[in-house]
Amino acid sequence: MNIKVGVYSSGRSISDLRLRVSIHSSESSLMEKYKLIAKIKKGVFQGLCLLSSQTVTLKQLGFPDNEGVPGSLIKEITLLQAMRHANIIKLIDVVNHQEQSSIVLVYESMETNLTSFIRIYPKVMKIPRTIKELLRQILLAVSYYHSFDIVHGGIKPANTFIDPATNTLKITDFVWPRTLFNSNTEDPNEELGFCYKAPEILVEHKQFSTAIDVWSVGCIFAEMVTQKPLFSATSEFHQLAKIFSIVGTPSEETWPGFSRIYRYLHIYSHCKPKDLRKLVPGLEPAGIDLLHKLLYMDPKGRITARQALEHVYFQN
Amino acid sequence: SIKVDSSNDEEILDIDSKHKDPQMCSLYAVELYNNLRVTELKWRSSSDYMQTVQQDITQEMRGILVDWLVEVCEEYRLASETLYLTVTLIDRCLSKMYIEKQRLQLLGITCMLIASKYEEICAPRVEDFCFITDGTYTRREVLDMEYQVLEILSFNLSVPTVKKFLRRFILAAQSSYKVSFVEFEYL
Repeated sequence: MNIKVGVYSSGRSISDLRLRVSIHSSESSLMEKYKLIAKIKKGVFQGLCLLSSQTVTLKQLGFPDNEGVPGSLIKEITLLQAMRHANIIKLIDVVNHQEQSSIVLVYESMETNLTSFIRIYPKVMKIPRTIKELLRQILLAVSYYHSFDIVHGGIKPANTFIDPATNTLKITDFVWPRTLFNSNTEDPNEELGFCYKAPEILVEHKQFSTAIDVWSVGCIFAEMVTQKPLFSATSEFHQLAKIFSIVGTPSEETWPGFSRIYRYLHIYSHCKPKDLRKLVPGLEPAGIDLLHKLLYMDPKGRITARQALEHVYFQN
Repeated sequence: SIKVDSSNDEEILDIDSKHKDPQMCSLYAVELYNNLRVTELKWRSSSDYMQTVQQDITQEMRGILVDWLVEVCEEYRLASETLYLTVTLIDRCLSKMYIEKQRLQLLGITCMLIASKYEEICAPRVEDFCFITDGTYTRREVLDMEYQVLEILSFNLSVPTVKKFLRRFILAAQSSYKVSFVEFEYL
């Protein structure tokens, strides 16, 4: 097909551009720039950048040809490019294969996620200082993107990566929450993400805000201490009951207006809040206090990531 | 430089103090708007592209295109954010690539397709955008253009549009009012 449109600034025509596959550094093709080392899972590869000798993770995402690049992918790429933070995964390159209807995203290497990290290094995770340092890094990332009006919507140990050499933590998989619930593209084998979802998005009239990420951070905090999920239900349906059984069933006093966003509240039996000190043993009192504030039911009263970083737990 | 009389500080109203609701995002408002201003400068389209880049199209043609896109937006019940983003994308593309007048409308609908994918919960389909041009462009042409636009913009779509700032200016302008104007809610 003859394309008449040209790129004015450089004098190159678009048809030239199409032969080149990369967006950022258009000089060479994908395979000339990266060498695949291992397959991590379907569509995800570990590779080596031949220019920088840096290990990278390549994620190939295919899509049906008839609708173009899916919105969720456009959003993720846009967001990751807008953000630059030590604790957020860096998107190094985007390679758009128009002919194959696929996009390859090249990220900095991410090998060990928090779930595996806990399993591989249980002793390291027993050190209170490690937990404090990892939590601090999660909160730094979260407060950073919240200041861009971005809500992650799905933070969980499986998309929180740690470099075991430096204990640097990086958050990945940004998908806007409103796409999160419409998409059927989620891998069913993925870890059960609903264990980390805030109560206000498990109800009928979902309330999206930055507070949903703070809840997830609270869940991860508890999990780092006990090495198992705090609210582990068997299905999304049971998740709310599980949350109520630990944090207490909301009432007009503890969460004003909750009955308006969830009309089935009456079917849940009334539970009193359990003692977090018993459920999360070994956590220092300041940590328990912070956990209480992160897992505050009413999103309006929940601590923000920024405030959490100033909590006494992090001082010393 | 502008000097601010510090003795007036107490009279300055904190417009974020009323909203403690995280859904209003007021907790990060000051930082958020600082970030938006930085991003705005970074991705702003050039103001003289009609003279420096374009040869075949004119200011009037752009005007006609935008007016028509307003109608498309109404027809498909798209959010106003989508419209504002569409126009921003068009201007950014036109700052960087020469386009012939026969393809200006194709650029317009393609930018609207991308903006809808970015902003809408249920974006219209490619065929809806082909249909609205009375079949002037084929699906293949739209998808090829989408590829080009994403390539030219390097997937940087997260640009602040007028609407984001307008919301805050209205909040500031009405801070002394007890009831806010409903009209502004529909901008």
